[in-house]
Amino acid sequence: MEVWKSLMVIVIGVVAGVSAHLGYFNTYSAEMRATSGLNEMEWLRSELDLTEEQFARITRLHDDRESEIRTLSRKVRDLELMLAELEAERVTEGYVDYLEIRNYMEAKRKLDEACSKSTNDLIASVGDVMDLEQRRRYLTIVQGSLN
Amino acid sequence: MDKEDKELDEALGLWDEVKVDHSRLSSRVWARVANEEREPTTLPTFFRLVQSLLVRPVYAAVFVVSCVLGGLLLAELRVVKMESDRHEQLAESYKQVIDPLLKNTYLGD
Repeated sequence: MEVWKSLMVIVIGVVAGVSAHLGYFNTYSAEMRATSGLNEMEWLRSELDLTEEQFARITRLHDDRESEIRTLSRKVRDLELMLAELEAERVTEGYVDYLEIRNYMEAKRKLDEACSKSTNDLIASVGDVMDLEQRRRYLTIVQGSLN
Repeated sequence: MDKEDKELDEALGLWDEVKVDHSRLSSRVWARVANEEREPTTLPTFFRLVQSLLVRPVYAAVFVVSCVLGGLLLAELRVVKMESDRHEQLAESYKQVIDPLLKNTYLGD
């Protein structure tokens, strides 16, 4: 009889533990799912506690830079394709066009500089809209992109 | 002396005549017998202890409350991990928006 009693206590404990776990986890994961549709800008607003005015100005700054960033990233992709073609040529034909490689290196260097400048300018202008604490948190987020 | 004891004595008598060329056979046999006797009693002792604790209402309540707290702690750890993953994902996504050098920036074309 005592064996059944202790078994019952174990079963009740396990069921209560699992129920508490699932109840808590489902409640919070449902909250997170509700906000999972946020895009990057909305996330940034909530993350940095931006005011409406700050958010509007920062969104405008990003919108203004969008076409430039797209153009630069298209050039990055084109250069990657160019490098892949040069490598394919080297593998299949055993031919290395050093002039093309030099041109690629030069174009890559200039493009990297242009990309870094574009990113740094955007980060600086966005940071100017923020107060000191917001800027500190923002720079922590974008740290890897700063050059 | 009953019939079984008599048969055992006969078997032991026969054993005396068997020559075994192994100096430590006897000690090994007794060690295994002792081990066989010890193992079955170890687990029931543990279970008896658990059983004797869980039948007391105070300990039973402590066990159930511990299970609930353990479940909540694990759930909190999972939620924190999920939040951290989501935060990292959005930060990475934002960096791709502002940095043309990062891959996937052009995928939005």
